[in-house]
Amino acid sequence: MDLAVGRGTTTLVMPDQIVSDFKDAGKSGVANALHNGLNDDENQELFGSANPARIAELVLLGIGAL
Amino acid sequence: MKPIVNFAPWPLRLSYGDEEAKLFGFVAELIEGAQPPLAEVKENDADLFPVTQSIFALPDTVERRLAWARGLTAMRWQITRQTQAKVVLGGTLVGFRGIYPGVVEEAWMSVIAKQPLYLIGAFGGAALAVIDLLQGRDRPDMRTENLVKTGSRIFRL
Repeated sequence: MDLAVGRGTTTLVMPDQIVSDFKDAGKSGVANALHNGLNDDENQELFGSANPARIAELVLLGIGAL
Repeated sequence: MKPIVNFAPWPLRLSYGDEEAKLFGFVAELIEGAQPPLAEVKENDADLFPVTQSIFALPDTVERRLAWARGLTAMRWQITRQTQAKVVLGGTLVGFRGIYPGVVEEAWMSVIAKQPLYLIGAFGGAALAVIDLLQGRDRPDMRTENLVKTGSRIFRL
């Protein structure tokens, strides 16, 4: 990492650009956007689950697939 | 390596002394957040954040609010570089010190850096906002014009 990056030199990105980046990333499916080892269906389950055991299981499933 | 790694953003870490250092003990490691680019803040920390005043009481000028916001962004890039994945759950969408809700910014960094990201949306907040946006749902509260009005303290005079 060079000194400039170490000092936090990054382009100032406004919130609208972040919104646009998320929407663009999601167009090819959440699995492609998140790079987390889970497929689209597993990510959908993770998005909606409030069960701690199942959440942990899905995260570990994804990590194991990386 | 200690089991907990705590990233302390600039300028907050400027207020840390012996008492704070003791809290880390043998369990946690402190990593100092980077100072923002000199084009955005004064080189000498004390010129912007005098040691005689509370760091928390100081985001009272445009210059100091920008410094806080950029310090948080710099720290979040450090976190993204020094971690292998992120798990996101909840996260406030109001009253934050940066330009964006912090959890949203960290998730965005992971997405553009192609870092593994796990989103848990059942508890709402920033995680759900990111899920909504990835799935093409509109989130007016995440637009710049609305964050200016209701979300970030950086825009308030």
